Amino acid sequence: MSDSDVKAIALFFFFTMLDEKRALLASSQAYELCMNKIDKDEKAPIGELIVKSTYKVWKHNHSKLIRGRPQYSLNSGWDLPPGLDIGVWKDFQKNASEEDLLAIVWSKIINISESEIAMGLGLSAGTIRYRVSHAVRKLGAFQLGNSMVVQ
Amino acid sequence: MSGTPTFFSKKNSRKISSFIGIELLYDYLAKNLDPERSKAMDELIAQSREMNDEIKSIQRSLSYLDHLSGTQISVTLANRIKAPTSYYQGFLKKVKFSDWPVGIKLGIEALFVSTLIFSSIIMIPWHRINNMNFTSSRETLLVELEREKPKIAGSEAEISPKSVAPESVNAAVTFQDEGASAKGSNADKGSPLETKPTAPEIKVENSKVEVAKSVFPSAKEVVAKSTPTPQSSAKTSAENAESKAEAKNETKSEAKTGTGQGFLYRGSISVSNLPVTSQKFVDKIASLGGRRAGEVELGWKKGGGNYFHFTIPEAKYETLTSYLGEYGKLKIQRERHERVLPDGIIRLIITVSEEKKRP
Repeated sequence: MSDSDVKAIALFFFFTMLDEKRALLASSQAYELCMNKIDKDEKAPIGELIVKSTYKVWKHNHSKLIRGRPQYSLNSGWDLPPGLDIGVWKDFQKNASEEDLLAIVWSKIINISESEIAMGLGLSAGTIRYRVSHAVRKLGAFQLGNSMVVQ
Repeated sequence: MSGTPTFFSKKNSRKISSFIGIELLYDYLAKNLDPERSKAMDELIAQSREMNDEIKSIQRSLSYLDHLSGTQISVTLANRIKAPTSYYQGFLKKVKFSDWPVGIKLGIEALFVSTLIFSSIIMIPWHRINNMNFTSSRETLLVELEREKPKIAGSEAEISPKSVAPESVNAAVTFQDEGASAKGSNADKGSPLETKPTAPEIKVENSKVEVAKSVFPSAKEVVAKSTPTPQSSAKTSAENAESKAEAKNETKSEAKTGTGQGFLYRGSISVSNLPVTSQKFVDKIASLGGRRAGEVELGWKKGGGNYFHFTIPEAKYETLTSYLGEYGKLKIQRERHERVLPDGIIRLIITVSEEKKRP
């Protein structure tokens, strides 16, 4: 597993949880799980294994998570791009559905292809594309300050 | 209806509604639509201001997401993520357990589970579970002893017959005088018939041993501990040995007396010149080997007569009755009594009264 894959796992849990401690713990669990999956099936696409691992760890930890209460510091190891307004993402992470949140992070932040996401979740590519489309439009609405545009 | 164009035909131009257009807008921007739908979307976007605003929103959103994806993680954080989350995982990773052959893995797991099971079996206190005794007390009840003070002379006394000579037993035993009181007696305290307060009394009932000694305090029970001190152990052993020996003697005595049923000969006689006759009776009984049985002396004055409570060898019974019959009409009844005497010894209570003179 390359460093970019480790970074992908870390970013997934950071942007879905916005809690540095929980994100670190979940990232470690997902990393071990993904390593085990790689050992068992070396031919499987890494994107699919990352989706499977992160989704399993997410389902295991998300009930303990209280969305809307971000807990992280600027020097916690996640280096956000300069000039980024994280407030939009905070609103989106708080209000978006789980399907939209996970789909947009996998697809648009850690850049896993929709087909790999679909294989990892066992869904069709159209379903994933719809979820991503819906999430992107909703995020755009949050950027405009009107979350009621996209329901 | 025949002149209107068919909007759902593929051959003719398809117009897309704003609702469908918004749903297809993301795919339109991602160029995932077929050329025909893309052309229809172009026409819709050119006509609809709402669609243009939506396109700008999506593009802004995608730009924001692209900006977010530029987030980096530090090397330290990446190393922390790669580090094992537990010592167990770290151990497995260090020994490369996942690379081991499957047979060895299963063998180690089976060995671990079997060791765990055997350890549990050994550690569980089965003897306590069987006895249902979860207390931490280490006391063990060996024997229950009941000690009582011996009966004081004058009260009801229980003395078991001994397997000794009848004469000596006759001298050792004592009885309660019927109708006689200790105050009114002028019995000789130094008589050999007096009960010694230190004589032990033992009853054997089932497996319970009762020991009574005048020198012992009136303790109800003695519990011997499983780890006694040497002194107390020796003392307890001596007591047990003494109890066993005396119980054995008593058992032999009872066996010797046969059924265990005793008898009392109760009689009366009216004589003339009572004081002289009574003294003759005393001398005769003594000459026949009789001994007083109660506390009062032979010929004790009771009311208007004299009271004789004594034991005598059974062989002398006929001689005594014939002698007494010479002085008056002797009436004797043989009664069952709980007191058991050794073989060859009988007990009598004879009341001698002054014969009434006829007017």
